[in-house]
Amino acid sequence: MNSEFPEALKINNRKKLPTKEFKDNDKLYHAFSREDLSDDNVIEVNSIRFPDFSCNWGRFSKPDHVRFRKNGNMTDGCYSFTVLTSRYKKIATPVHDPIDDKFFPNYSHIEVRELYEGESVLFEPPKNRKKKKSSKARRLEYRKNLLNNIEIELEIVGTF
Amino acid sequence: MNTVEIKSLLHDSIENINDKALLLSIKDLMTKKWERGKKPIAENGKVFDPVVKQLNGWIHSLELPQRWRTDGIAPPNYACKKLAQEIAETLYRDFSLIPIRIAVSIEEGIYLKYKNFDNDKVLEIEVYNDNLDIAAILTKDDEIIKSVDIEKEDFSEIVKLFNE
Repeated sequence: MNSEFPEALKINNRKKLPTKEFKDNDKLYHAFSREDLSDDNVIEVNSIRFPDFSCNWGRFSKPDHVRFRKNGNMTDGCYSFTVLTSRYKKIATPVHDPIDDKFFPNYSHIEVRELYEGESVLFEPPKNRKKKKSSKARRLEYRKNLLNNIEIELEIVGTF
Repeated sequence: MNTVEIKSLLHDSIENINDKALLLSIKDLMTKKWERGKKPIAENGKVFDPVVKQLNGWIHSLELPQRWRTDGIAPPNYACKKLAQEIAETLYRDFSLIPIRIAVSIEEGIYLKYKNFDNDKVLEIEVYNDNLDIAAILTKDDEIIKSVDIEKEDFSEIVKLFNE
C-alpha cells in the first residue's frame, strides 16, 4: 500500500468552494474501522454519526485518501454516498471545509451540516452553529436513509 | 429446566436469532437449577425472569469502542442504560419482543434492534444521553415505513405496525 501523503489533499492555494458547486451525483467518502461494524461485519445505523459528519469530496480525492487524516489508520475502510443522499428531505447539506493543517491538510474535506427547517440545500450552515433542539426521529431517519444508500469503496485491511 | 422450557421462555423466534450474546444467555440458563413448579421472586417483588436478567446484564455491560472514545464520543450514561433496560423489559414483558442486537450508539446512547421474522420488518430504537430522548424507526427491506419520537415510553403504535 502506498502510504505517501497524497498531493491531491494539499491545499496548494486553492479556495474554498461554495455549496452550489456540489453536484447531486458527486461522491462523498467516509472512513470506517472495525469498531464501526456489527458482529456480522456490517455497518448499522448506530455507527452513523449526524450532524457534522466529516467526509472527503470525491471530486478532489480518492477513497483511500480518507486514511490520511488525524486519528486515521492505514487499515481503515471507506464507504461513499452521493450529495443527493446527503440532502435527504433537506435535513442537511454538504459544506466545503478545507483543512489547512501542517501534517494533515485536506482540500477535499467537507462537513454534512444540519439545516434548520425552511433553509435551502444551497445555504451554508456556519461551522459549529448552535444546534436547535430537533426531533431525534428525524435525525435517525436521516441516518438510516444514508446507511441504505452507502456503497463500500474499500474494505478494512487485514481483519477478516 | 429443560431445553424446551428454555426455548419457550425465550420466544418462538429463538431459532432464528443468531446472536452470540443470546446464545450465551441460553447456555447460562441451562446451567441454572430450578425448583419445579415454583417461580422465583426477585428482590423488587417482580417474578424473576432469566430473559430480563440477561437483557439487563447485556445492556449494563456495553462499552464504548476505544476509537469512538478517541473521537470524543461520550459513552451511554447510567440513566440512559437504565432507561434502555426498562424499554427492553417492557417490550419483552408486554409484547414478547426480544432484541437481536443491543449496542452502543455513536450518537451517545443505546441502540436496540428487533426483527419480526414473520414479515421481515425491522424495528430499531435509540435511547440518548441527551435529555433521555427515545427515537424509533421501522423498516422493511431497507424501506423506511415510519420514524417516530417516543413519548412517555409508549411503544404501542410502533409495535402494532411492527407486528402487522
